[in-house]
Amino acid sequence: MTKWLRNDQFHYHIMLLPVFVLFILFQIFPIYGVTLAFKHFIPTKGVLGSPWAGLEQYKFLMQNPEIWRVLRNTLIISVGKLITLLIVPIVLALMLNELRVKWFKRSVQTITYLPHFLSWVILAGIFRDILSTHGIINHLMETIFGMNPIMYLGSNIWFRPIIILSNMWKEMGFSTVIYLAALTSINSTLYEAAEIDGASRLQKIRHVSIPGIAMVIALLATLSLNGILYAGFDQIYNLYNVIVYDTGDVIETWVFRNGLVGAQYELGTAVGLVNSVIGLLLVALTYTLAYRFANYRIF
Amino acid sequence: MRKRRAGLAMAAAAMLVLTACSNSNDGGGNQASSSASTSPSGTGSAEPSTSASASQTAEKADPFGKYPDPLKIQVIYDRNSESEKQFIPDSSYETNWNNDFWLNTLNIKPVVKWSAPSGDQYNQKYNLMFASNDLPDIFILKSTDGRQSARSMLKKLVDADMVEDLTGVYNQYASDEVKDYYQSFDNKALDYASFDGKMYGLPAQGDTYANVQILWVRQDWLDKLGLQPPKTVDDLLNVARAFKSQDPDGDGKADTIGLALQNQFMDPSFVDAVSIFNAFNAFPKSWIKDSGGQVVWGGIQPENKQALQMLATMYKEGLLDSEFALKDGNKVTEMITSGQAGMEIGSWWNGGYPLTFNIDSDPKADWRAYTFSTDNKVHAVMDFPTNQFLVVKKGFANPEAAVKILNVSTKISHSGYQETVDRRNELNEKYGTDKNDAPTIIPNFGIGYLDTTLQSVKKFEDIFAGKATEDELTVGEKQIFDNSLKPNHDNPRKDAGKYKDYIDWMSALSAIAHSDLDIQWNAFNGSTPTYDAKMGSLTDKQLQAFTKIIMNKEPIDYFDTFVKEWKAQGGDQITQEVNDEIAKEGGN
Repeated sequence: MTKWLRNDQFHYHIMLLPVFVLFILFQIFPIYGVTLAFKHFIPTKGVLGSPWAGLEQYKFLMQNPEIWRVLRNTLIISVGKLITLLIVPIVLALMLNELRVKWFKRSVQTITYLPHFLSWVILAGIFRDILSTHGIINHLMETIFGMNPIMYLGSNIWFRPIIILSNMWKEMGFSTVIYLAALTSINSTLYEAAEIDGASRLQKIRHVSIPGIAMVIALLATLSLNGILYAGFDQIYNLYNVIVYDTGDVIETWVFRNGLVGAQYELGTAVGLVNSVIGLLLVALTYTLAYRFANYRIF
Repeated sequence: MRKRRAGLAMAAAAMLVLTACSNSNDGGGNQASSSASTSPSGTGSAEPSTSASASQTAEKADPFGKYPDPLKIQVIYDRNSESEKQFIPDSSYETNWNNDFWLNTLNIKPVVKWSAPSGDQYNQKYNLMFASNDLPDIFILKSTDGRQSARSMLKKLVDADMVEDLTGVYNQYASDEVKDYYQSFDNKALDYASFDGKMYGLPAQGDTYANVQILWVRQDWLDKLGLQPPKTVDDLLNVARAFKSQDPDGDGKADTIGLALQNQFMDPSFVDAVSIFNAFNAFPKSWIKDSGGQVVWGGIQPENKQALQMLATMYKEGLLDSEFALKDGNKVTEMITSGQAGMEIGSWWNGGYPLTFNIDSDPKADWRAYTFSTDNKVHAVMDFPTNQFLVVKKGFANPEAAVKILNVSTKISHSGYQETVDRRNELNEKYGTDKNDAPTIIPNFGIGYLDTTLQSVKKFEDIFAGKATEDELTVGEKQIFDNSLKPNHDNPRKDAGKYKDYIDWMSALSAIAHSDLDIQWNAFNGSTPTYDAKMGSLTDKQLQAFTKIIMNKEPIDYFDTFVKEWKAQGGDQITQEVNDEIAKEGGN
């Protein structure tokens, strides 16, 4: 202890202290709240004082006939989002990286990045107008192809693709920026060497760029697995309706509607806890796999 | 944004009714509103005889008798910060003009046992006082979370022997005015407060009938196409067809629909379909009593099928917006604003929202309200007019004080005291109409007729017809009459802002007032364990099934499948629990 105090690194520890305290206070300490998932919450008695209820919430979840439909929808939508948001930004970043006209590259980057800052409440309003039976899409389809109007947001065939694609459009710019940053960090001598070896542009991408950012790709993919059971409440809640419950109702929206009836905080906590545990397991699994088989050390 | 506007419009509409009781100094939210009552007891005894104060026994059975010595009563207050903003300076719960008035009138001195800010803090303290059996002398019993009805709370207090039996003191002390109000509803509110023939609380009684859902129609479209206002569901269908196909807006384009409808079409508010269900005696979102006296869920009764059949036909013929299931009320409002819809079903206040947007943008738009049915009766299920009780702690020496307090506050509400009228005028002059004294003893508690508003409308009509004079109006009614109705009667469109009030009253409320109403009471308001767990998903299921049937995605017989699933997935169990709960409460 005394040695530690005399250590010339002591002031660094002091500097770390505020963060450490904040972390304990706001991240570690509130974790006791997850006990709510196993309690019968009585607001006047608080979280700690409420009686235990065992696995009642999970029984309720499992007994509900809708839970499997909701779970299926959640997985399909969130896996769809995960894949699109992994592939499209990489392609976009590689393409932007090849551009030599600076202003064009910058403007494309800004424009694709822009929707990330808009809230789904606003975007959903716009999408609802665009996709309505009197909207611009149906109008175009009708005048060009003579198709009958389709109620896109009221169709169980179209709802999931619309959710996945609109999410891709909104968020792809964000990951693109990260990949572009990774691409700039690739040593330019590698490209020069490839050029001397007579590599074409595509070959340079395949053998220099992609291996160069593979680590970042693995990192982002692993981290995004954490949210596998979150299909995006803001987006779906603002776009769905009773007709597409069959394909669009996800865990979060379902809990929102059912938890509201009896202010069931326990249910929300119970579902959140399952989501976190599954997310943690998946992250741990991918981390191990990446380390074992590809020898990537992500963290 | 639009939501907020809707809220404002509703608040404004509510204010209309509430200003009717602006004389009540107990705060603006009094449930009883403008009253037609000029009960005989309401005059004369503003100054109670002081001779009675000599002995306690002499004041016996005088409903307005003043106590010889100041009677201290412990009370509690739910401190709403919004209404506190409207207190005049130096007015607090402890000292205010109202307290002085009550001291002068009854010699009652309220002592604040505790008060807490509205919401969680108040609710916690409120529920804690039952658990710790530490009640104030007189207080208002009501549900803080909607999970149990006020009646089942009262039942628990009665079983725990925590509240006084008020049967005797009510019969002895209740004023004729108070008795008259309860009798107007066949004393059903009193029965609601009674267990085994003993009454344990004085029930509130609210103005209820005005909330019946009605049909708003564009009269200018009807006139243009030479149609009569719909009286039956078939008329409604025909008018909708004409509005769809005969180009009522005269722009040469087929851009109109028959009936505006929103996705939550079973909830009464605006652009709903409640009246259509009710016309077929279907009550899809209520607990109702069946012929055998059992309480059943309205949403699974076969009557719904007829209503769904009609709506499905309308959808098929294009009389409804093909995307109604995707649009909430505020979105549908856009269609009304742009003049695409000529009919909507909703509440009496819809003149203020959402129809006002159409009225503002189209000077020709002339919205009128009508009721329609299949058997000349307008059916509806409403919440029971009592949702709170005035109760007295067991062992309090003067339980009759509660009855006297109700007597006086009822009399205040209906302008029976010159002092309170003068005080209101004084406040208006000094501080403005939105400023109040702090309330006392029983804020926001009142009794009135179930059709108070409708009686007012009939009075207004009599005055316009020359059959009555303005002298017969109460202060609250006169305010509405002078501000919104009289200036607009000869030329309704003169003042656009007040025109909305004019049609709310003289068209919508008038249509309800002249209808033959058949009102049932929602049979259950609380919750049970399975109800908590499963009602949410069952309600989902119902909306989904009904919407699909209306949109012709499922045939009408899908209703039977839905009923079977509803029952199997917890509905039967909920129904059983609800009936058990009601049996536990002792009927009603």
